Amino acid sequence: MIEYMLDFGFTEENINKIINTYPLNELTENTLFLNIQNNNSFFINFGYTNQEIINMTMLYPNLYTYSIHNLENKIKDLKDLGYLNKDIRKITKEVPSIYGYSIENIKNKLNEKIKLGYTFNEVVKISKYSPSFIVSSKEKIKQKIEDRIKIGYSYNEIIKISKQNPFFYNYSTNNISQKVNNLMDLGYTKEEVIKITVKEPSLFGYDIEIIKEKIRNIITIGFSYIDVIYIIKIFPACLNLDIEKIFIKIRDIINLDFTKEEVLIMIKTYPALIGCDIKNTKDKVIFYRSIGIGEMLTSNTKQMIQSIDLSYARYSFFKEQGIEINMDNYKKLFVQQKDFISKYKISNKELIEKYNYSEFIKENKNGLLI
Amino acid sequence: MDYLFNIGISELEIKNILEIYPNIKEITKNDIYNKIEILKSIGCNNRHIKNIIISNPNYLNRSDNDILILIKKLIKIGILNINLLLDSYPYFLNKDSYEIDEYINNELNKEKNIEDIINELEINPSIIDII
Repeated sequence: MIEYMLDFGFTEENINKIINTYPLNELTENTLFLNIQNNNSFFINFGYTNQEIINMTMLYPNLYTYSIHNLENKIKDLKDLGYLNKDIRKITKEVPSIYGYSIENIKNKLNEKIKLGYTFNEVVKISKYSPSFIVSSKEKIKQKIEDRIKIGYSYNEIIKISKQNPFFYNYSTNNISQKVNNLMDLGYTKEEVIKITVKEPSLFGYDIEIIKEKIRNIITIGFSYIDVIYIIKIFPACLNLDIEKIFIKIRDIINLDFTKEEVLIMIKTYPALIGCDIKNTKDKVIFYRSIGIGEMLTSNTKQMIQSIDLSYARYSFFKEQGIEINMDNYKKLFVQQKDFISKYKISNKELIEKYNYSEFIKENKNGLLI
Repeated sequence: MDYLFNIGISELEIKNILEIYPNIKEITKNDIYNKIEILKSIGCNNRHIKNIIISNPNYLNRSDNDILILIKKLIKIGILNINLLLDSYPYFLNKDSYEIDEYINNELNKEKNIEDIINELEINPSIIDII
């Protein structure tokens, strides 16, 4: 048995741990050897590597007390709950004791989390990324929630963040508190930091030095520090983008015949432009220029947010009414729906059905001619 | 990722999405299908869906349940063209229903009336993210 285990990759220390752990130390050497061989074969067939099996059995030597039938049933139970084989491997590598939980016990653990405000599918999803979530006691999770409330987050925000960043409960309270303070040191108020991290929970995973480096990188594009702090406040997802991706996005917008200075102003005015689909941006740029209001793109960039479907429909409506849109009256395209209805007696829904942008581009593949 | 190809997202665009949100690799085909179907159910066409996913890949990572509750909330408060609102500002899909309530309550506290608040939100959905 010792030779087999050494060949498998166990160290002598590992072997000692296994043979001296209760109740494995109650088994005869032959029975224990048979269990080890059978279970190792089963685990290998299920997709674990030798090292993963060693790590699991060091965390939970009792894995060698279970029969193959028992392990198969446990995998079936987990699959019935919605986990895939790869999820089961991932979860059990981190929490091998799951193989020892009865299905009722696992369901109880899931139900405890549901009572906190998650759906069944959300609990399953979080536990795929953060396996300890499934076995954590409700008291432990409640304590973590209370700790985060003390930092300044609301209950709803905590539940939301944990769905987006399943590792949220794994961070220590000190770690989160420190992260909040670090972000405040960049120039944000606490309220802003809370909002920013709720919008982009992945920020909890970034070291503050990485965030500072990203800020320095964005400054090199031509923004001031204050600009970057504002851009992050409005569009924190920009921190997920590599600087090269931001450069490419800016270059792509410049290629739509803007100067770099214009693009920087546009982004300062409308930071989400960094994340927008360039095809969508391009369609809008071509359209507004084609109808003679291209100047608006730099002087009032925020109007770019409006869906092109609606801009096209309203433009077409005005054109049909004999109203020419120009830089003096282009705001007619962007008025609130209730004002539009009260003045022109037609809703957005009716407009976009009557003047359909998708059909228009199909008919004008070569160039958005209005 | 077939469903993403089907709505016109290119291989390069998918690569970019995965670079930003590597977790998306773990999302099942069924999850992606559901997310696309939810958008179709509110009137988004493939062009809108492509814009939404490329601009806000995090949408794929959201809970279906939360998205459905959010959409119900938008319908309840009287947003008439949710597809246009999301095409305008795909990041709106990162909101939870409670955030809409909070936003509306904050605006009501500024003595605005509910109709104006909804109209403002409809014409410029990004105002919900202005801190």
